[in-house]
Amino acid sequence: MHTLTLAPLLALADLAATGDDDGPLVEAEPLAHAFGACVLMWKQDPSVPEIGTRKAYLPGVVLAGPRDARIAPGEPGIAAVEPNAAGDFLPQPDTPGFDAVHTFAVVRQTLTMYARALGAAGLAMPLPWQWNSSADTSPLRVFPHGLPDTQNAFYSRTQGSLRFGHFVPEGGSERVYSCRSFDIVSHETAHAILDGIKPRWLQANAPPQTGGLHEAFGDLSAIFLALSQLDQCDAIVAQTKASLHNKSYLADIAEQFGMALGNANSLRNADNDLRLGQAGVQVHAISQVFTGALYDVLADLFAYERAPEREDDAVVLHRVAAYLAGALLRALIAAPDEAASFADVANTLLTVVAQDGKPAAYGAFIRNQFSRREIVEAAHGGSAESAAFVPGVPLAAKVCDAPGARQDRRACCGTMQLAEYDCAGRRTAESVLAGEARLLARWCAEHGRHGPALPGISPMASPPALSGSNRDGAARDGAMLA
Amino acid sequence: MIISARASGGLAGRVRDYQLDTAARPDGAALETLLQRLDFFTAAPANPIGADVPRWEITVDDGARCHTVVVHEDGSDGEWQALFEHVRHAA
Repeated sequence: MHTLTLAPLLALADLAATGDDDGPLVEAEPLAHAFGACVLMWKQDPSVPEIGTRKAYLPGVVLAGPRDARIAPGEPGIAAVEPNAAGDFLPQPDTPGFDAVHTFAVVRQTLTMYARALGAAGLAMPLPWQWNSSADTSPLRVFPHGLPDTQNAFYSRTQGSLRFGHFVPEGGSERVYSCRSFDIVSHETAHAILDGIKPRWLQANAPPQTGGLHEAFGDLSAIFLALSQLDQCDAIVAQTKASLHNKSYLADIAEQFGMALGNANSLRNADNDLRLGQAGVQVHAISQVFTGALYDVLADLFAYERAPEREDDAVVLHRVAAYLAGALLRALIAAPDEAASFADVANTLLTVVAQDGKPAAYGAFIRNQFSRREIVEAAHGGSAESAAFVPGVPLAAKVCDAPGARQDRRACCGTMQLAEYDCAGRRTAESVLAGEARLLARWCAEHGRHGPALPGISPMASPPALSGSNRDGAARDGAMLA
Repeated sequence: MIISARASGGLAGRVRDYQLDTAARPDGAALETLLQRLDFFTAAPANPIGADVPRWEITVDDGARCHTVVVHEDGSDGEWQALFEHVRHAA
Protein backbone atom coordinates (compact mmCIF):
# COMPACT_ATOMS: atom_id res chain seq x y z
CA MET A 1 0.00 0.00 0.00
CA HIS A 2 1.30 3.42 -0.85
CA THR A 3 2.00 5.68 2.02
CA LEU A 4 1.95 9.34 1.29
CA THR A 5 4.77 11.10 3.04
CA LEU A 6 5.10 14.79 3.72
CA ALA A 7 8.87 14.66 3.82
CA PRO A 8 9.48 15.60 0.20
CA LEU A 9 6.98 18.42 0.43
CA LEU A 10 8.55 19.72 3.62
CA ALA A 11 11.96 19.62 2.01
CA LEU A 12 10.66 21.72 -0.82
CA ALA A 13 9.07 24.11 1.63
CA ASP A 14 12.37 24.46 3.45
CA LEU A 15 14.11 25.29 0.23
CA ALA A 16 11.53 27.89 -0.64
CA ALA A 17 11.78 29.43 2.80
CA THR A 18 15.55 29.76 2.75
CA GLY A 19 15.87 30.70 -0.85
CA ASP A 20 18.74 28.24 -1.07
CA ASP A 21 19.13 27.53 -4.75
CA ASP A 22 22.73 26.39 -4.68
CA GLY A 23 22.07 22.79 -3.74
CA PRO A 24 20.79 20.04 -5.96
CA LEU A 25 17.28 20.52 -7.17
CA VAL A 26 14.91 18.55 -4.99
CA GLU A 27 11.73 17.40 -6.53
CA ALA A 28 8.79 15.97 -4.75
CA GLU A 29 7.98 12.40 -5.45
CA PRO A 30 5.06 12.28 -7.81
CA LEU A 31 1.96 11.73 -5.75
CA ALA A 32 0.37 8.42 -6.41
CA HIS A 33 -3.31 8.42 -7.10
CA ALA A 34 -4.40 8.78 -3.52
CA PHE A 35 -6.14 5.87 -1.95
CA GLY A 36 -8.76 6.54 0.61
CA ALA A 37 -12.40 7.39 0.79
CA CYS A 38 -14.60 9.94 2.40
CA VAL A 39 -17.43 8.60 4.47
CA LEU A 40 -20.38 10.17 6.19
CA MET A 41 -20.89 9.17 9.80
CA TRP A 42 -22.55 10.15 13.04
CA LYS A 43 -20.26 12.00 15.41
CA GLN A 44 -22.04 10.35 18.35
CA ASP A 45 -25.47 9.05 17.47
CA PRO A 46 -28.79 10.39 16.18
CA SER A 47 -29.79 11.57 19.67
CA VAL A 48 -26.95 14.09 19.84
CA PRO A 49 -28.16 16.43 17.11
CA GLU A 50 -26.03 19.41 18.08
CA ILE A 51 -23.01 17.73 16.50
CA GLY A 52 -24.82 15.53 13.97
CA THR A 53 -22.87 13.93 11.16
CA ARG A 54 -19.48 14.57 9.70
CA LYS A 55 -17.48 13.63 6.68
CA ALA A 56 -14.38 11.67 7.55
CA TYR A 57 -11.47 10.61 5.38
CA LEU A 58 -10.27 7.03 5.67
CA PRO A 59 -6.73 6.95 4.25
CA GLY A 60 -6.59 3.45 2.86
CA VAL A 61 -8.12 1.26 0.24
CA VAL A 62 -11.86 0.97 0.78
CA LEU A 63 -13.85 -1.14 -1.62
CA ALA A 64 -17.56 -1.62 -2.15
CA GLY A 65 -19.26 -2.91 0.95
CA PRO A 66 -17.51 -1.03 2.45
CA ARG A 67 -14.65 -3.38 3.16
CA ASP A 68 -10.89 -3.44 3.39
CA ALA A 69 -8.25 -6.01 4.26
CA ARG A 70 -9.25 -6.25 7.93
CA ILE A 71 -12.96 -5.45 8.03
CA ALA A 72 -15.73 -6.83 5.86
CA PRO A 73 -19.50 -6.73 5.86
CA GLY A 74 -21.18 -9.83 7.24
CA GLU A 75 -23.33 -11.90 4.93
CA PRO A 76 -26.21 -12.11 4.67
CA GLY A 77 -26.56 -8.51 5.61
CA ILE A 78 -26.99 -5.07 4.16
CA ALA A 79 -26.51 -4.90 0.41
CA ALA A 80 -23.01 -3.77 -0.46
CA VAL A 81 -22.72 0.00 -0.73
CA GLU A 82 -21.01 1.14 -3.91
CA PRO A 83 -18.79 4.21 -3.83
CA ASN A 84 -19.73 7.26 -5.84
CA ALA A 85 -17.74 8.48 -8.82
CA ALA A 86 -15.15 10.04 -6.51
CA GLY A 87 -14.68 6.82 -4.60
CA ASP A 88 -16.57 8.11 -1.58
CA PHE A 89 -19.30 6.54 0.52
CA LEU A 90 -21.91 9.16 1.32
CA PRO A 91 -25.37 7.60 1.67
CA GLN A 92 -28.09 9.54 3.44
CA PRO A 93 -28.53 9.04 7.19
CA ASP A 94 -31.27 6.70 8.38
CA THR A 95 -30.72 4.30 5.51
CA PRO A 96 -29.20 0.81 5.59
CA GLY A 97 -26.39 2.00 3.36
CA PHE A 98 -25.51 4.78 5.78
CA ASP A 99 -25.53 2.30 8.64
CA ALA A 100 -23.12 0.04 6.78
CA VAL A 101 -20.76 2.93 6.06
CA HIS A 102 -20.94 4.44 9.54
CA THR A 103 -20.30 1.09 11.22
CA PHE A 104 -17.39 0.26 8.95
CA ALA A 105 -15.92 3.72 9.48
CA VAL A 106 -15.99 3.50 13.28
CA VAL A 107 -14.47 0.01 13.29
CA ARG A 108 -11.74 1.17 10.91
CA GLN A 109 -11.05 4.36 12.88
CA THR A 110 -10.78 2.46 16.16
CA LEU A 111 -8.32 -0.04 14.69
CA THR A 112 -6.31 2.74 13.04
CA MET A 113 -6.23 4.80 16.23
CA TYR A 114 -4.58 2.01 18.20
CA ALA A 115 -2.25 0.98 15.37
CA ARG A 116 -1.06 4.58 15.15
CA ALA A 117 -0.63 4.74 18.92
CA LEU A 118 1.62 1.69 18.91
CA GLY A 119 3.49 2.95 15.89
CA ALA A 120 4.13 6.28 17.60
CA ALA A 121 5.66 4.38 20.51
CA GLY A 122 7.94 2.38 18.19
CA LEU A 123 5.87 -0.76 18.59
CA ALA A 124 4.21 -0.91 15.20
CA MET A 125 2.10 -4.01 14.73
CA PRO A 126 -1.02 -4.80 12.73
CA LEU A 127 -3.19 -5.65 15.78
CA PRO A 128 -4.38 -8.99 14.42
CA TRP A 129 -7.78 -10.37 15.29
CA GLN A 130 -7.67 -13.31 17.67
CA TRP A 131 -8.05 -15.90 14.90
CA ASN A 132 -5.48 -14.38 12.55
CA SER A 133 -2.39 -16.43 11.89
CA SER A 134 0.13 -16.99 9.16
CA ALA A 135 -2.54 -19.15 7.54
CA ASP A 136 -5.68 -17.16 8.35
CA THR A 137 -5.96 -13.46 7.65
CA SER A 138 -9.75 -13.44 7.74
CA PRO A 139 -11.28 -10.04 8.38
CA LEU A 140 -13.64 -9.13 11.17
CA ARG A 141 -17.18 -9.49 9.86
CA VAL A 142 -19.54 -6.66 10.72
CA PHE A 143 -23.32 -7.05 10.83
CA PRO A 144 -24.82 -3.57 11.40
CA HIS A 145 -28.37 -4.96 11.38
CA GLY A 146 -27.33 -8.36 12.71
CA LEU A 147 -29.70 -8.68 15.67
CA PRO A 148 -33.28 -7.82 14.75
CA ASP A 149 -35.52 -6.73 17.62
CA THR A 150 -32.68 -7.09 20.07
CA GLN A 151 -31.48 -4.56 22.62
CA ASN A 152 -27.86 -5.51 22.32
CA ALA A 153 -24.62 -5.56 20.39
CA PHE A 154 -21.77 -7.99 20.84
CA TYR A 155 -18.39 -9.25 19.73
CA SER A 156 -18.15 -12.96 18.96
CA ARG A 157 -14.76 -14.57 18.54
CA THR A 158 -16.58 -17.78 17.65
CA GLN A 159 -18.22 -16.10 14.67
CA GLY A 160 -15.38 -13.68 14.00
CA SER A 161 -17.89 -10.90 13.97
CA LEU A 162 -19.52 -7.87 15.51
CA ARG A 163 -23.31 -7.88 15.55
CA PHE A 164 -25.52 -4.92 16.29
CA GLY A 165 -29.13 -5.02 17.36
CA HIS A 166 -32.06 -2.79 16.54
CA PHE A 167 -35.37 -2.49 18.31
CA VAL A 168 -38.36 -0.32 19.07
CA PRO A 169 -38.15 0.86 22.68
CA GLU A 170 -41.05 0.20 25.02
CA GLY A 171 -43.57 2.96 24.57
CA GLY A 172 -41.71 4.28 21.55
CA SER A 173 -42.38 4.27 17.86
CA GLU A 174 -38.96 5.01 16.37
CA ARG A 175 -36.64 2.07 15.88
CA VAL A 176 -33.24 2.42 17.56
CA TYR A 177 -30.21 1.02 15.74
CA SER A 178 -27.26 0.31 17.98
CA CYS A 179 -24.93 0.41 14.96
CA ARG A 180 -25.66 4.14 14.64
CA SER A 181 -23.92 4.72 17.94
CA PHE A 182 -20.32 5.79 17.55
CA ASP A 183 -19.74 4.66 21.14
CA ILE A 184 -21.24 1.19 20.80
CA VAL A 185 -19.42 0.37 17.58
CA SER A 186 -16.11 1.54 19.02
CA HIS A 187 -16.79 -0.37 22.26
CA GLU A 188 -17.41 -3.66 20.44
CA THR A 189 -14.41 -3.14 18.17
CA ALA A 190 -12.25 -2.64 21.23
CA HIS A 191 -13.34 -6.05 22.51
CA ALA A 192 -12.14 -7.58 19.25
CA ILE A 193 -8.82 -5.71 19.40
CA LEU A 194 -8.15 -6.67 23.01
CA ASP A 195 -9.11 -10.29 22.34
CA GLY A 196 -6.42 -10.37 19.66
CA ILE A 197 -3.87 -9.33 22.27
CA LYS A 198 -5.09 -11.09 25.40
CA PRO A 199 -7.19 -14.10 24.34
CA ARG A 200 -7.36 -15.58 27.81
CA TRP A 201 -9.07 -12.53 29.26
CA LEU A 202 -12.40 -13.71 27.85
CA GLN A 203 -12.23 -17.13 29.42
CA ALA A 204 -15.15 -18.10 31.58
CA ASN A 205 -12.98 -18.52 34.64
CA ALA A 206 -11.40 -15.07 34.35
CA PRO A 207 -11.74 -13.05 37.56
CA PRO A 208 -14.19 -10.13 37.73
CA GLN A 209 -11.54 -7.45 37.30
CA THR A 210 -10.22 -9.10 34.14
CA GLY A 211 -13.69 -8.97 32.63
CA GLY A 212 -14.00 -5.43 33.87
CA LEU A 213 -10.83 -4.45 32.03
CA HIS A 214 -12.40 -5.66 28.78
CA GLU A 215 -15.52 -3.59 29.31
CA ALA A 216 -13.60 -0.53 30.48
CA PHE A 217 -11.34 -0.70 27.43
CA GLY A 218 -14.50 -0.70 25.32
CA ASP A 219 -15.95 2.42 26.89
CA LEU A 220 -12.61 4.22 27.02
CA SER A 221 -12.00 3.45 23.35
CA ALA A 222 -15.19 5.28 22.48
CA ILE A 223 -13.95 8.31 24.41
CA PHE A 224 -10.47 8.20 22.92
CA LEU A 225 -11.85 7.75 19.41
CA ALA A 226 -14.03 10.84 19.81
CA LEU A 227 -10.98 12.76 20.97
CA SER A 228 -8.92 11.52 18.04
CA GLN A 229 -11.02 13.86 15.89
CA LEU A 230 -10.16 17.52 16.15
CA ASP A 231 -13.65 18.77 15.48
CA GLN A 232 -14.91 16.70 18.39
CA CYS A 233 -12.13 18.05 20.64
CA ASP A 234 -13.19 21.53 19.69
CA ALA A 235 -16.82 20.77 20.48
CA ILE A 236 -15.93 19.18 23.84
CA VAL A 237 -13.76 22.13 24.85
CA ALA A 238 -16.59 24.50 24.03
CA GLN A 239 -19.20 22.40 25.80
CA THR A 240 -17.11 21.92 28.96
CA LYS A 241 -15.26 25.23 28.94
CA ALA A 242 -12.11 23.11 29.00
CA SER A 243 -12.95 21.22 32.18
CA LEU A 244 -13.66 17.58 31.38
CA HIS A 245 -15.64 17.19 34.60
CA ASN A 246 -18.27 19.57 33.32
CA LYS A 247 -21.13 17.74 31.70
CA SER A 248 -20.67 16.83 28.09
CA TYR A 249 -21.50 14.10 25.64
CA LEU A 250 -17.92 12.86 25.90
CA ALA A 251 -18.38 11.04 29.20
CA ASP A 252 -21.82 9.73 28.29
CA ILE A 253 -21.51 6.32 26.68
CA ALA A 254 -24.20 5.25 24.17
CA GLU A 255 -26.67 8.08 24.67
CA GLN A 256 -29.50 6.97 22.42
CA PHE A 257 -29.23 3.32 23.38
CA GLY A 258 -29.18 4.12 27.09
CA MET A 259 -32.18 6.41 26.87
CA ALA A 260 -34.06 3.79 24.86
CA LEU A 261 -33.51 1.43 27.78
CA GLY A 262 -34.96 3.98 30.17
CA ASN A 263 -31.81 5.64 31.49
CA ALA A 264 -31.76 9.40 31.92
CA ASN A 265 -28.81 10.23 29.67
CA SER A 266 -26.85 7.25 28.47
CA LEU A 267 -25.91 3.65 29.10
CA ARG A 268 -22.94 4.50 31.33
CA ASN A 269 -21.05 7.59 32.41
CA ALA A 270 -17.27 7.67 32.54
CA ASP A 271 -17.22 10.73 34.79
CA ASN A 272 -18.29 8.82 37.88
CA ASP A 273 -17.01 8.44 41.44
CA LEU A 274 -17.40 4.69 41.92
CA ARG A 275 -14.85 2.89 44.08
CA LEU A 276 -13.75 -0.70 43.74
CA GLY A 277 -15.08 -1.66 47.15
CA GLN A 278 -18.58 -0.69 46.01
CA ALA A 279 -18.63 -2.33 42.61
CA GLY A 280 -19.35 -6.03 43.16
CA VAL A 281 -18.32 -8.59 40.57
CA GLN A 282 -20.53 -7.86 37.58
CA VAL A 283 -18.25 -6.98 34.68
CA HIS A 284 -20.02 -3.83 33.50
CA ALA A 285 -20.43 -2.51 37.05
CA ILE A 286 -16.85 -3.11 37.99
CA SER A 287 -15.60 -1.73 34.68
CA GLN A 288 -16.94 1.70 35.57
CA VAL A 289 -14.40 1.99 38.35
CA PHE A 290 -11.48 1.58 35.97
CA THR A 291 -13.15 3.72 33.31
CA GLY A 292 -13.79 6.45 35.86
CA ALA A 293 -10.23 6.38 37.14
CA LEU A 294 -8.75 6.72 33.69
CA TYR A 295 -11.23 9.42 32.74
CA ASP A 296 -10.08 11.34 35.80
CA VAL A 297 -6.46 10.87 34.73
CA LEU A 298 -7.38 12.23 31.30
CA ALA A 299 -9.00 15.27 32.91
CA ASP A 300 -5.95 15.79 35.13
CA LEU A 301 -3.48 15.50 32.25
CA PHE A 302 -5.50 17.90 30.14
CA ALA A 303 -5.65 20.45 32.95
CA TYR A 304 -1.91 20.03 33.53
CA GLU A 305 -0.93 20.41 29.87
CA ARG A 306 -3.27 23.26 29.03
CA ALA A 307 -1.61 26.51 28.03
CA PRO A 308 -4.33 28.54 26.35
CA GLU A 309 -2.05 31.53 26.04
CA ARG A 310 0.18 29.50 23.73
CA GLU A 311 -1.88 26.72 22.24
CA ASP A 312 -5.48 26.00 21.41
CA ASP A 313 -7.16 23.83 24.04
CA ALA A 314 -8.60 21.50 21.43
CA VAL A 315 -5.14 20.74 20.07
CA VAL A 316 -3.87 19.98 23.57
CA LEU A 317 -6.84 17.74 24.31
CA HIS A 318 -6.28 15.89 21.05
CA ARG A 319 -2.63 15.31 21.89
CA VAL A 320 -3.16 14.33 25.52
CA ALA A 321 -5.94 11.87 24.65
CA ALA A 322 -3.85 10.30 21.88
CA TYR A 323 -1.00 9.80 24.30
CA LEU A 324 -3.17 8.31 27.01
CA ALA A 325 -4.94 5.98 24.55
CA GLY A 326 -1.60 4.59 23.44
CA ALA A 327 -0.27 4.38 26.98
CA LEU A 328 -3.36 2.45 28.06
CA LEU A 329 -3.02 -0.03 25.20
CA ARG A 330 0.66 -0.55 25.99
CA ALA A 331 -0.19 -1.02 29.66
CA LEU A 332 -2.78 -3.64 28.76
CA ILE A 333 -0.28 -5.42 26.51
CA ALA A 334 2.26 -5.46 29.33
CA ALA A 335 -0.27 -6.78 31.87
CA PRO A 336 -0.44 -10.49 32.74
CA ASP A 337 -1.87 -12.78 30.08
CA GLU A 338 -4.27 -14.33 32.54
CA ALA A 339 -6.27 -13.03 35.49
CA ALA A 340 -5.07 -9.44 35.10
CA SER A 341 -6.31 -7.06 37.76
CA PHE A 342 -6.95 -3.33 37.72
CA ALA A 343 -3.86 -2.91 39.90
CA ASP A 344 -1.76 -4.78 37.34
CA VAL A 345 -2.73 -2.31 34.64
CA ALA A 346 -2.36 0.71 36.93
CA ASN A 347 1.20 -0.40 37.62
CA THR A 348 2.06 -1.10 33.99
CA LEU A 349 0.61 2.30 33.11
CA LEU A 350 2.93 3.91 35.66
CA THR A 351 5.82 2.05 34.05
CA VAL A 352 4.84 3.23 30.58
CA VAL A 353 4.68 6.92 31.50
CA ALA A 354 8.00 6.63 33.35
CA GLN A 355 9.65 4.93 30.38
CA ASP A 356 8.33 7.66 28.13
CA GLY A 357 10.05 10.25 30.29
CA LYS A 358 6.84 12.05 31.11
CA PRO A 359 6.81 14.61 33.94
CA ALA A 360 6.42 13.20 37.44
CA ALA A 361 2.95 14.72 37.54
CA TYR A 362 1.75 12.06 35.09
CA GLY A 363 2.60 9.27 37.50
CA ALA A 364 1.22 11.26 40.41
CA PHE A 365 -2.13 11.69 38.67
CA ILE A 366 -2.32 7.96 37.97
CA ARG A 367 -1.42 7.03 41.54
CA ASN A 368 -3.85 9.53 42.96
CA GLN A 369 -6.82 8.56 40.83
CA PHE A 370 -6.29 4.81 41.01
CA SER A 371 -5.78 4.89 44.76
CA ARG A 372 -8.84 7.10 45.21
CA ARG A 373 -10.81 4.37 43.46
CA GLU A 374 -9.39 1.74 45.87
CA ILE A 375 -7.55 0.05 43.02
CA VAL A 376 -4.04 0.48 44.43
CA GLU A 377 -2.45 1.78 47.59
CA ALA A 378 -1.24 5.35 47.19
CA ALA A 379 2.29 4.58 48.30
CA HIS A 380 4.60 1.88 49.59
CA GLY A 381 4.51 0.55 53.15
CA GLY A 382 4.44 2.29 56.48
CA SER A 383 1.76 4.31 58.13
CA ALA A 384 -0.27 6.83 56.25
CA GLU A 385 2.13 9.50 57.49
CA SER A 386 5.35 7.70 56.67
CA ALA A 387 4.41 5.84 53.50
CA ALA A 388 6.38 6.96 50.51
CA PHE A 389 6.18 6.25 46.82
CA VAL A 390 9.15 4.41 45.39
CA PRO A 391 9.33 4.85 41.62
CA GLY A 392 9.56 1.59 39.76
CA VAL A 393 8.13 -0.50 42.55
CA PRO A 394 4.60 -1.72 41.87
CA LEU A 395 1.87 -0.41 44.12
CA ALA A 396 -0.06 -3.02 46.07
CA ALA A 397 -3.61 -3.73 45.08
CA LYS A 398 -6.07 -2.29 47.55
CA VAL A 399 -9.22 -4.28 46.76
CA CYS A 400 -8.65 -7.69 45.20
CA ASP A 401 -10.97 -10.20 43.66
CA ALA A 402 -11.85 -12.88 46.17
CA PRO A 403 -9.80 -16.06 45.65
CA GLY A 404 -11.43 -18.12 42.96
CA ALA A 405 -13.91 -15.38 42.13
CA ARG A 406 -15.29 -15.52 38.64
CA GLN A 407 -16.68 -12.68 36.70
CA ASP A 408 -20.42 -12.31 36.74
CA ARG A 409 -21.87 -11.50 33.36
CA ARG A 410 -25.39 -11.96 34.65
CA ALA A 411 -26.36 -9.26 37.06
CA CYS A 412 -26.36 -5.77 36.02
CA CYS A 413 -25.26 -2.37 36.60
CA GLY A 414 -27.64 -0.84 34.21
CA THR A 415 -24.95 0.72 32.74
CA MET A 416 -23.11 -1.80 31.42
CA GLN A 417 -12.95 3.47 -5.08
CA LEU A 418 -13.10 3.42 -6.95
CA ALA A 419 -13.87 -0.14 -7.43
CA GLU A 420 -10.90 -1.19 -9.40
CA TYR A 421 -8.72 1.86 -9.65
CA ASP A 422 -5.06 1.24 -9.69
CA CYS A 423 -2.03 2.99 -8.32
CA ALA A 424 0.24 4.44 -10.95
CA GLY A 425 -1.24 1.91 -13.30
CA ARG A 426 0.40 -1.00 -11.55
CA ARG A 427 -1.68 -2.35 -8.78
CA THR A 428 -5.34 -2.66 -8.41
CA ALA A 429 -7.00 -1.86 -5.16
CA GLU A 430 -7.75 -5.52 -4.68
CA SER A 431 -4.11 -6.38 -4.97
CA VAL A 432 -3.30 -3.77 -2.36
CA LEU A 433 -5.68 -5.41 0.07
CA ALA A 434 -4.17 -8.78 -0.76
CA GLY A 435 -0.77 -7.29 -0.03
CA GLU A 436 -1.98 -6.06 3.35
CA ALA A 437 -3.25 -9.55 4.11
CA ARG A 438 0.15 -10.99 3.18
CA LEU A 439 1.85 -8.51 5.49
CA LEU A 440 -0.48 -9.55 8.28
CA ALA A 441 0.28 -13.23 7.61
CA ARG A 442 3.99 -12.52 7.59
CA TRP A 443 3.76 -10.60 10.86
CA CYS A 444 1.84 -13.50 12.39
CA ALA A 445 4.46 -15.97 11.16
CA GLU A 446 7.27 -13.86 12.56
CA HIS A 447 5.55 -13.65 15.91
CA GLY A 448 4.62 -17.27 16.39
CA ARG A 449 0.97 -17.06 15.42
CA HIS A 450 0.74 -20.17 13.30
CA GLY A 451 -2.70 -21.37 12.44
CA PRO A 452 -3.97 -24.91 12.40
CA ALA A 453 -3.09 -25.25 8.73
CA LEU A 454 0.56 -25.18 9.66
CA PRO A 455 0.86 -27.92 12.28
CA GLY A 456 4.12 -28.76 13.90
CA ILE A 457 5.61 -25.31 13.79
CA SER A 458 6.82 -24.31 17.20
CA PRO A 459 5.79 -20.92 18.45
CA MET A 460 8.56 -18.38 18.40
CA ALA A 461 9.62 -16.37 21.35
CA SER A 462 7.31 -13.51 22.13
CA PRO A 463 8.49 -10.04 21.25
CA PRO A 464 8.86 -7.73 24.23
CA ALA A 465 5.89 -5.64 23.31
CA LEU A 466 3.61 -8.63 23.27
CA SER A 467 4.95 -10.82 25.99
CA GLY A 468 2.86 -13.89 26.31
CA SER A 469 -0.03 -12.83 24.16
CA ASN A 470 -1.74 -15.13 21.74
CA ARG A 471 0.77 -17.91 21.58
CA ASP A 472 -1.41 -20.82 22.45
CA GLY A 473 -3.05 -21.25 19.11
CA ALA A 474 -6.37 -21.25 20.87
CA ALA A 475 -9.10 -22.42 18.59
CA ARG A 476 -11.79 -19.93 17.82
CA ASP A 477 -14.50 -22.27 18.98
CA GLY A 478 -15.23 -24.49 21.83
CA ALA A 479 -14.41 -22.74 25.06
CA MET A 480 -17.10 -21.63 27.40
CA LEU A 481 -17.74 -18.01 28.08
CA ALA A 482 -19.31 -16.91 31.30
CA MET B 1 -44.17 -27.83 31.52
CA ILE B 2 -42.94 -24.99 33.65
CA ILE B 3 -40.23 -22.88 32.05
CA SER B 4 -38.13 -20.56 34.20
CA ALA B 5 -35.57 -18.40 32.46
CA ARG B 6 -33.15 -15.63 33.27
CA ALA B 7 -31.63 -13.55 30.50
CA SER B 8 -28.62 -11.49 31.48
CA GLY B 9 -25.48 -9.86 30.24
CA GLY B 10 -25.28 -8.10 26.94
CA LEU B 11 -23.98 -4.62 26.35
CA ALA B 12 -26.24 -3.21 29.05
CA GLY B 13 -25.82 -6.17 31.38
CA ARG B 14 -29.44 -6.14 32.44
CA VAL B 15 -31.29 -9.08 33.95
CA ARG B 16 -34.76 -10.24 33.05
CA ASP B 17 -36.60 -13.16 34.60
CA TYR B 18 -39.36 -15.09 32.90
CA GLN B 19 -41.69 -17.84 34.05
CA LEU B 20 -44.33 -19.52 31.99
CA ASP B 21 -46.52 -22.60 32.04
CA THR B 22 -47.01 -24.20 28.65
CA ALA B 23 -50.39 -25.55 29.77
CA ALA B 24 -51.66 -22.01 30.22
CA ARG B 25 -50.47 -20.55 26.95
CA PRO B 26 -51.90 -20.62 23.45
CA ASP B 27 -48.43 -21.32 22.06
CA GLY B 28 -47.81 -23.99 24.72
CA ALA B 29 -47.98 -26.94 22.34
CA ALA B 30 -45.56 -25.27 19.96
CA LEU B 31 -43.21 -24.55 22.83
CA GLU B 32 -43.26 -28.16 23.97
CA THR B 33 -42.56 -29.32 20.42
CA LEU B 34 -39.67 -26.91 20.21
CA LEU B 35 -38.24 -28.23 23.50
CA GLN B 36 -38.50 -31.77 22.14
CA ARG B 37 -36.67 -30.79 18.96
CA LEU B 38 -33.94 -29.26 21.11
CA ASP B 39 -33.84 -32.47 23.16
CA PHE B 40 -33.82 -30.06 26.05
CA PHE B 41 -33.54 -32.56 28.89
CA THR B 42 -30.19 -33.83 27.62
CA ALA B 43 -29.05 -30.68 25.86
CA ALA B 44 -25.61 -29.25 26.55
CA PRO B 45 -25.22 -26.55 23.92
CA ALA B 46 -21.80 -25.28 22.95
CA ASN B 47 -21.19 -21.77 24.08
CA PRO B 48 -19.38 -19.07 22.17
CA ILE B 49 -16.44 -16.95 23.19
CA GLY B 50 -17.10 -13.27 23.00
CA ALA B 51 -18.03 -10.15 24.87
CA ASP B 52 -21.48 -8.74 25.58
CA VAL B 53 -23.13 -11.95 24.36
CA PRO B 54 -26.38 -12.42 26.34
CA ARG B 55 -26.53 -15.42 28.63
CA TRP B 56 -29.65 -17.46 29.24
CA GLU B 57 -30.19 -19.82 32.13
CA ILE B 58 -33.27 -21.88 31.33
CA THR B 59 -34.89 -24.48 33.55
CA VAL B 60 -37.68 -26.73 32.33
CA ASP B 61 -39.71 -28.93 34.68
CA ASP B 62 -42.16 -31.41 33.17
CA GLY B 63 -43.15 -32.96 36.49
CA ALA B 64 -40.91 -35.97 36.02
CA ARG B 65 -37.71 -34.27 34.98
CA CYS B 66 -36.11 -30.95 35.70
CA HIS B 67 -33.13 -29.74 33.70
CA THR B 68 -31.22 -26.45 33.53
CA VAL B 69 -29.27 -25.29 30.53
CA VAL B 70 -26.95 -22.30 30.19
CA VAL B 71 -26.83 -21.05 26.62
CA HIS B 72 -25.65 -17.85 24.96
CA GLU B 73 -27.71 -15.88 22.48
CA ASP B 74 -25.41 -15.26 19.56
CA GLY B 75 -27.98 -15.98 16.89
CA SER B 76 -26.08 -18.96 15.54
CA ASP B 77 -28.71 -21.60 16.30
CA GLY B 78 -32.17 -21.09 14.94
CA GLU B 79 -33.90 -23.53 17.29
CA TRP B 80 -32.46 -21.97 20.42
CA GLN B 81 -33.14 -18.52 19.03
CA ALA B 82 -36.77 -19.53 18.53
CA LEU B 83 -36.93 -20.58 22.17
CA PHE B 84 -35.48 -17.25 23.30
CA GLU B 85 -38.07 -15.40 21.23
CA HIS B 86 -40.93 -17.48 22.62
CA VAL B 87 -39.82 -16.85 26.19
CA ARG B 88 -39.14 -13.17 25.60
CA HIS B 89 -42.55 -12.57 24.07
CA ALA B 90 -44.21 -14.38 26.94
CA ALA B 91 -43.32 -11.50 29.24
